[in-house]
Amino acid sequence: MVVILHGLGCRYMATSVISSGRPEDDASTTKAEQISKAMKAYLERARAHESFMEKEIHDYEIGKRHLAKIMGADPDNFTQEDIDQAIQYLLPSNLFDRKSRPLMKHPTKIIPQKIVAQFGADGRPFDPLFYTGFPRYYAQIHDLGMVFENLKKIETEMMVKKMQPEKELDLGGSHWINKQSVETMLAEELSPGQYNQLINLLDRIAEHPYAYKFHDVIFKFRTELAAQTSRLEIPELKVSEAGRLYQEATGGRKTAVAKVTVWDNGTGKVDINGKNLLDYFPYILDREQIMFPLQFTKKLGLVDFEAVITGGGHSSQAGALRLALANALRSFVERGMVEKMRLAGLLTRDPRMRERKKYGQEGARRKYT
Amino acid sequence: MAGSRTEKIGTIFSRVHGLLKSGAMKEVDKPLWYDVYAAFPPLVEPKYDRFQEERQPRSILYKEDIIRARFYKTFGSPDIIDMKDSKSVPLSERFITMYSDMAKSGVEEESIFNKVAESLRSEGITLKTVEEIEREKKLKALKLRFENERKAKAKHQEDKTEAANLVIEDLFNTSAGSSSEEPDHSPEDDYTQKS
Amino acid sequence: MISVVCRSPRQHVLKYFSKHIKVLGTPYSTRVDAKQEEVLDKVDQPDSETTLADSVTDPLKHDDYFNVKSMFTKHDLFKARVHFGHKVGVRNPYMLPYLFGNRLGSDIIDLEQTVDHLQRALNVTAHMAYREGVIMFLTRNRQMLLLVEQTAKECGEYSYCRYWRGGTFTNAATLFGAITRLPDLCVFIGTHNSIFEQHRAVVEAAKMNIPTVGIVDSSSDPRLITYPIPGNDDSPCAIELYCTLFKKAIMTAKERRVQDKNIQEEQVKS
Repeated sequence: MVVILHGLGCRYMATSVISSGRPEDDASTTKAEQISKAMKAYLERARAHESFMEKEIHDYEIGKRHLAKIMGADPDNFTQEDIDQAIQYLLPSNLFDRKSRPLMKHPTKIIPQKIVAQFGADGRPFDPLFYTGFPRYYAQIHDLGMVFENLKKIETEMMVKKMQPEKELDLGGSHWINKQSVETMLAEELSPGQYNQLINLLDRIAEHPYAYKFHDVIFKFRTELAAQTSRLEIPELKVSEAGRLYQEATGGRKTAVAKVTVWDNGTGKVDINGKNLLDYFPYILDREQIMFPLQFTKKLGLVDFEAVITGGGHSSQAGALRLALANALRSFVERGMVEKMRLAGLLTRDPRMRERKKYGQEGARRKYT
Repeated sequence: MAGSRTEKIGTIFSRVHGLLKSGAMKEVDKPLWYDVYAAFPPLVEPKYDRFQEERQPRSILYKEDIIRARFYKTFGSPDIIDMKDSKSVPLSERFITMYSDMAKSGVEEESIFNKVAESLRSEGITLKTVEEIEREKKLKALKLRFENERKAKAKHQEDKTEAANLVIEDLFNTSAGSSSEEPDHSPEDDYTQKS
Repeated sequence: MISVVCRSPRQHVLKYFSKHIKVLGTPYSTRVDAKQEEVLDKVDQPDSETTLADSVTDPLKHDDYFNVKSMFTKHDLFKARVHFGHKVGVRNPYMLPYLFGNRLGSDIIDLEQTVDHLQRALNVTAHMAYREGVIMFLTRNRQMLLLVEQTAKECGEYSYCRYWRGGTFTNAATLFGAITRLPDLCVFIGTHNSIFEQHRAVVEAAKMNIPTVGIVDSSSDPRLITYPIPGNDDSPCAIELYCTLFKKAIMTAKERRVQDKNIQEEQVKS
């Protein structure tokens, strides 16, 4: 799909005459005889690219109408969302890599910007940094360099006035975006060295005492730490038809899965798979595990819960129910208490699973002697 | 289009000119700079293969340098020169102008230097010779050493007299002044064997 | 040419239109041909001895079409510390002709020569800009890199002040994916790279028959530079001066091109 004009046999393509340079000759250079080989090449390339894009867009539009007709929708008001849904319906794909799934988008969004013609009909590139090979990357470096020069100026001005910086830039809870994100942002592939250079420059800027004045520029390159973003999302309490507050949650341990509904304003009524607590968990250790979150949050006897547990044995079912209860109780309790629960280990799903048996051995670890 | 990449042979102009003349390059493909170069050739042909001069560049020295050198040798660096301030005149420059004025007015060669130094000193500027500065530094260092030694000695004397005035009993007496209930227990008793 | 006493630049140029002007007695006659009035209104008349005939003649035939000589003086170069070269130890022997002398270990560049070379280089740059050539600024001076890139952007031209990818000129088809128009002129603000060797682009430009304009310091090799300018390549004030001058030359040339084109169109219509 990429249009590349190979050489035309012109290896010594250094210089060219686009026009003789004199204004009075401009009118005559459009004549076929006066156009040099190089000029011809540029014009041809520009024309080829234009016609290529035209064809792609035309194909897309026609395809869209066909798709609309197949789906029985109005071809004129068929939006991109409709297209996506139609493709998902007609060509279902469960491939893990979402980029490998069938896709139908406008050519301007699919065809990478790099292949788009970077210079005009006269051969002059559009970007002043075109010849570096990485115009967008170096333009970004230039802009950040100018930010740094500004910071130096501001600092000297403030020192002369004997003033101090007003505040500090808060970089906690975030980190620099990864190389992939930078490449997407700049629409250019980078080498690891180039990425490191960018991050070093950003570090230097962020360390400056007056960096807070360029907060937006710096945070364009920062993402929040994953743990924090998920931690912030504690679901709110739901209200039943009767007006009673409740929260649903799940938990797992080994192969056991527990789904629990915790009701507010309770007296400690328990329903597990239709049975009583004592009947379902005769072992004291299991009951202690289940009590732990309630006791920790001081909700013992203040809430009711009903649970559905499947899989595993009695111990893992108890562990699953403990996690489910802790997850549900997050909504009933303050932020500070949630943090304490996290530190107590109530909100961590125990990842340990049964290790598989290996051939040549009796068990997972046990060997034949 | 053809083009020789041998940058060390001839110049870009000679090469392109050759191509045009031979017909390897068409007039239409003539480079943009060709006419500009023809109209405004460089002052020296940009040939790689060129004659290397043997003569050394002249040494730029002025008559005033003698005075300047003597000034710095005698007085070291008496003042601080701000490189950014192009308006302020450094001390050596003032010295030189005074020197040349005196020389013009016909004062004896030998004595001009000292006379200028004196006149500058009379304006209030400190002009100490390098030897003077050295001597002063040494003297200062000696004085400091002497002072420190004296202080150390005095302290030592103080400690001695303090020790001489010391009464052992006072050390073991309480602030109330009365003796303790226990009999005086001197440290010697610990070490001497008593029956 | 009738030498007439002129009171203003306009009158200075009017003398060359004497055959069109009916001068009665005084040279300050207001009876100027209407068409010439129009032309004079549009074209900015320089102070120097440039001729301007009734139509736009070949700019190349002019000694100083863009009035480059008035853009700087020798004293400007001195103030900007252009005459300071490097120490004796790093001197390049091919720079000897351009040195005025050596002052206590530091080479001093001959500003008389620099003036001539700089005027020539600015003139050539202006002519290239007038002909819509691609001009590329290069430097590897990390301190002044941003300024040079900014200057190039403001002129509407190009710059390459980063690590030089070998083959950018000689292997352009591979590096850029297709036939690319290479620069028609390379302006080097210092011909060294960051390890004090000659910039690879100097050799590549010479190979690809691209003329170069370059600031050559006492430690630089001037042989492959088409229009060398002996001068300081280190001090920020010197580099600021060069950037201002090149920008002025290019912008003047571009404006002049627009004006000349308008004149041409006017004449074609009439």
